[in-house]
Amino acid sequence: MEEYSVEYFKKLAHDIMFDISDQEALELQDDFKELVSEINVLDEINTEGVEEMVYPFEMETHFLREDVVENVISQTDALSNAKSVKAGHVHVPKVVK
Amino acid sequence: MNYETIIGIEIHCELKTKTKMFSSAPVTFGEMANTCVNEIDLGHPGTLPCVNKEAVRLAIKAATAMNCEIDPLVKFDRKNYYYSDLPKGYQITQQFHPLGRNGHVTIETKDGVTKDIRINRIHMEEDTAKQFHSDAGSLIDFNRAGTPLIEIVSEPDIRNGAEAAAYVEKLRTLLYYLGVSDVKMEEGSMRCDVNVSIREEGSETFGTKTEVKNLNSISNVQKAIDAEVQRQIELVSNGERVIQATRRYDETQKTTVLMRKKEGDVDYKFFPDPNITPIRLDDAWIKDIQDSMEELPDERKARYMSDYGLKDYDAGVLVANRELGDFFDEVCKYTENYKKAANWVIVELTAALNKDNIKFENNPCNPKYLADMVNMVEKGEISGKQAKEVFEEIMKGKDPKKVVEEKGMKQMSDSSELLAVVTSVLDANPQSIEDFKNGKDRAVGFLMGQVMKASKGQANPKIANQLIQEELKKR
Repeated sequence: MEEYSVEYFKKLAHDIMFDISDQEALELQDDFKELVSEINVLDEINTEGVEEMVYPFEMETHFLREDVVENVISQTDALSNAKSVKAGHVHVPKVVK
Repeated sequence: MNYETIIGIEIHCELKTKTKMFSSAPVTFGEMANTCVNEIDLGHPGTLPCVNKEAVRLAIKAATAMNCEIDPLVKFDRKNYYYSDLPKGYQITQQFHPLGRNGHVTIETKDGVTKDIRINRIHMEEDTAKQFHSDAGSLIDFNRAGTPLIEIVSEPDIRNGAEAAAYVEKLRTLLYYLGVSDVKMEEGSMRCDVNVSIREEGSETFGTKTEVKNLNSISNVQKAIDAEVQRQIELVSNGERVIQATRRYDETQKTTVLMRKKEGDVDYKFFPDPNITPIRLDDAWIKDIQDSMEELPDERKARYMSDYGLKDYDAGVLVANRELGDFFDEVCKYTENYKKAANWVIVELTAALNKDNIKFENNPCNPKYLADMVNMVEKGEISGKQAKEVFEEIMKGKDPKKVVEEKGMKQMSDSSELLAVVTSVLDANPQSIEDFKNGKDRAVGFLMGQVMKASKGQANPKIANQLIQEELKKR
């Protein structure tokens, strides 16, 4: 399948459990073409010998969270985004053979 | 042809914390599904992981006990793969900067051979959700998602199933002593994956390895390796190839079964997790953790042998079960008869608990009472036989001193008192005296029995025996 084609976006959306219209796919296609061309500009920069940067601020922190129970959500909330629920579990199509 | 077996082991171990690795939701086992989670564990957009201090502390203890170098700069990376047990689509782990490196543990196999197994790395990561598969689909419980884990990776220094079992047992005991983990293999809080390959003896290159997963007991680690080595040798001997694959051990068939083939290494596209900036641990904090660590099993064993004069075997038995050793230490606060005390703990106490199927944590025996009883035997106040009776009462929570009083058990150790009994027994048994004079030593045993009978079992056997011998010579 051609990258950034209408089918590509529709399949991608479907794989992550929602569907988009042809119109939405076309809009995404435009956005992505623009985005990719902008990213390609970065390729022109010579990064020879420049160490990669992971964080916007390269400083060390010291904070560690204390081991105390604070935030727990209800089962109802935990399952509210699931498409299918069975016996308090998220139910998905079988994932092993 | 002779083959050499090469084994490396990866162990995943859940840390004994109250909350998850990166969220403040509780760590539990056996709770109702999806009730111990929050937005971070479910991988909701916009949430940020926050590293659990206690998990880091426990991981430092584990790394220290395994003689690792500790990296004080904690960094996390993402391991990307798409599977329903992983809500974020990646696992947060320490791929590039493990907390601990270059460690080792010393194992002792059943033949008494000691050997160092090198530890490549110990790193922190998070557990996945639990899945239940059926024909109708897969059910997912996210309670386990985000539980703190350490992964301990050995170098390929292990050569057979027995060494592997000794290694896993060693780590299990260490982590348990340190309170780092529950190490319950059957509940999955400690999980063991074994990499096995064979090569011709003398060869420098490694053969194709297989990974045997989900071994739920230490004996299965050994059995699975023995079976897998046998399988590989048979393959190679028949001119076939070992195929790189993940296998599992089938207990009923006593062999390993193919789970999935591995076509080269999976590309997890590891990269540093931008959501967690590097965390510099305070050196003083690390040192404090290391200085206040619990006594390790090897140290305890050495102490039992040097301070208490216990034999290697007895010390080993007491150390193998931390609670048993803790109890023994309590007993030793009240007695100096260490060897006798050890014997009572190892033999009688263990047998009594086993008989009634009582777990050690519910042990009803008061350590001071047991020590008092051991002291009474040592002083000759009660006999060894009486002690067993007293012990039964101690197991019901009774003070041995009271038991002895109530049952009128006090052993007769007073020579003059005993002499009276001995004299009357001799007077009543002239035939035995005659027999003794005719060289029949058996007579002493008979007279001893009579003294015991006359004293209702309270005569101190050592003193009574001595008195009988002396009195017989006088007649």
